Amino acid sequence: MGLGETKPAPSLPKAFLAGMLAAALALTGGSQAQEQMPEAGDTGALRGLYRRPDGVPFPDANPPTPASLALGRRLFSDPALSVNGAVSCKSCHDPALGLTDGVPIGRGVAKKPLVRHVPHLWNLAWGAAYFWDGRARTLEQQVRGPIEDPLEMGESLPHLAGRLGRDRSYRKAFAEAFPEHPQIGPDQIAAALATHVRSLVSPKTRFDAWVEGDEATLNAEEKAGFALFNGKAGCSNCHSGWAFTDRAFHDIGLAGSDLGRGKIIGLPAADHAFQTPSLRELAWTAPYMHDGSLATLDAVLDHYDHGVVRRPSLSPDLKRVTLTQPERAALLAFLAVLSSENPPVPAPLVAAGPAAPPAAREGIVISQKDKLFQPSVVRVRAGQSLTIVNDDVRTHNVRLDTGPQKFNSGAQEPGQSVTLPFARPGRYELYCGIHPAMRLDVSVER
Amino acid sequence: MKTTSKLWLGLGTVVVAGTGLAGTNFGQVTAAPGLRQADDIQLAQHAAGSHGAPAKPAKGQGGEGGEGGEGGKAEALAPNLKFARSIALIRGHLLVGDELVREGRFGEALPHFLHPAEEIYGGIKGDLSTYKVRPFEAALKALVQTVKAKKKEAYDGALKQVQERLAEADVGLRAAEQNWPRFSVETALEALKVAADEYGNAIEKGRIAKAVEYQDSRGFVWQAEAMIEAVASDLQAKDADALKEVRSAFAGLKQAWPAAVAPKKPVKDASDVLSDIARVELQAGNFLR
Repeated sequence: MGLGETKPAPSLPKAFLAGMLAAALALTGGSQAQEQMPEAGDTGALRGLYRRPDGVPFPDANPPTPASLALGRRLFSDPALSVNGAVSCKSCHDPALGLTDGVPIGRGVAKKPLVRHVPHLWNLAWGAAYFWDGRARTLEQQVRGPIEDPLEMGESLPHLAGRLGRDRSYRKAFAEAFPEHPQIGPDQIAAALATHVRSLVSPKTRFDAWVEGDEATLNAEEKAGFALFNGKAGCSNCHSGWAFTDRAFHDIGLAGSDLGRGKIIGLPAADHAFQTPSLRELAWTAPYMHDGSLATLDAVLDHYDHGVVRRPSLSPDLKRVTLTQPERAALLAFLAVLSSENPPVPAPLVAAGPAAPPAAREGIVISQKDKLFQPSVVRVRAGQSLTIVNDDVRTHNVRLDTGPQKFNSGAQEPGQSVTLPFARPGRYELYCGIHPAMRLDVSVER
Repeated sequence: MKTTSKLWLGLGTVVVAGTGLAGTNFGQVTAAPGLRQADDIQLAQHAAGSHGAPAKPAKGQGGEGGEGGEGGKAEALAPNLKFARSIALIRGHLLVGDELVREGRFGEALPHFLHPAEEIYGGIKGDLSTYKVRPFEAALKALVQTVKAKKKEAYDGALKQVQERLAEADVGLRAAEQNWPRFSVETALEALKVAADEYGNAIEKGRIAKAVEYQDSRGFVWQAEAMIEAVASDLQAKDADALKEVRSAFAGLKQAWPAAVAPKKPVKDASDVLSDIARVELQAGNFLR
């Protein structure tokens, strides 16, 4: 079999599919709607899935320092970053408006409508890809985009670096932030801005207190909403984890011709798919969706109830959600506790220590169940092959973009497997183009 | 002249209180706890009376808050009227705040968006479900943020969200009140009482010393008039002459507020405004029988 050949997975158990079907039915709920306040049930185990991390992850190549954080904050607010000196990052990612701009479609230096809704910037330190369509793999890449976009800030980074270099206070600030590379260049500008954006962590809310064990913090309706979120409403299929996002791309059936992720990775299965936004500070970040088309959370629930455009690329994680009025009220009550009660300010910054990498395992068959490569770190010998089985319920796209050996599985449908031979020793990082938080670290030894 | 004893009692109270208000200093303007008072932002949080932060305002002193209410009388109101009064006061604030926003005066507008969120909402929060109104504290606060950020387009969207909730309150109240025109008039008169207090508080030594109070009272008067006009066809059918007189009285009353931005010197003193309001009350009494 050649590199990247896709074939049906012979070992996919029928019991697995039956289980997933049952789970899907459980998520969508039955038709016996009762006009009563739903009950929360036992949510103890679920709560653990939403515990906040202890610290913010920063890349080794761009660690935060007080000087780089201060520089990033200054750059973020400085309209000098735009070609006409009128627009800063903050102009659209306004802290007073939950780090967004409060309108469906904003405008930049060109005073023309932008292509998509301005996203909020909460909790991007944990991101796996950036922009609504994930076209940037790192924040350092992402922050360059708006500066150089003709509609947004319209400036060129080399030109900007030259201009900032003529400012004595900026020369000093860059020298302090990057003592090993004290010149002002595009890389340093991007590094400082990325550091600032990583520091924008949503503050704790009542929900976090509840997760930590303060039972009385949420009332019965809010707890029932949490149960719905994770059950009948199926929200947690995509809005999972402490930041309430799986960092993946989903077509949720919004009308429009924007192909989103599909255009970036050239995969029709990912057409109309956009990155799941974090639901933290939701109350402060309306309007919603990549096109800003839904003004309220009620409108969002209406969309999932009866507004979804049915098409082949629709996310398999998207369930039709029909809630009773009490259920709807409970779900909205729960969503409200994910937001600060007053305008949010970023949580105090605590950088995470270096994470211990998972131990590499020997293995040649990799599972993709539940949007995870399992195992996620493997060791093989040169000349061996890895078989990656899509034993999940959703389409995946195994990719290898770096190093001498490139690979793109295309649409890897449930039940299909791909086999990758590794001829040369080295480290390879595979990921899923649709669910970029899925990472597979392969060490190939002689 | 048509009138009712109920109204005369209310008017008597207002006149007595109003006489005392004119030219009297009712406390200093201070920033609310936790709020910075920016140079271009005037916060009206009175030590006594107005805006209802104290749970029990001193007798005879003004106040609009959900808990305290005007002269402490809001607590004595029937539940529907008390709730409707709070909704009217929120609308009055938004009305005058909106005028200022449309003039680009975001800083001056800010108090009128802060007050509903910080002072009135708390008093009606527990009643929302009774009238099938979805919670809107977050929407009010988000609206405040758009004013702070001076983002007009975002403001328009946020204002729409709040107005939708207020419309829900109308639906809930209509379901609870059999005679909606009469109830609208009653509520409008309650808003006018608060307007009288606010206007009195605004004037010190013959000058408008507290522009925010002046603006509050303008918003409440305009809101009261809007409530009357919303049921005008019913009122016309009941007593066309009285409606004509009410409209005439409003026209005279509104001359006290030539613009949203306060003049240095009041066009009318507090007692003149009280007299005008008494004229509205007197004629509106024909719709309450």
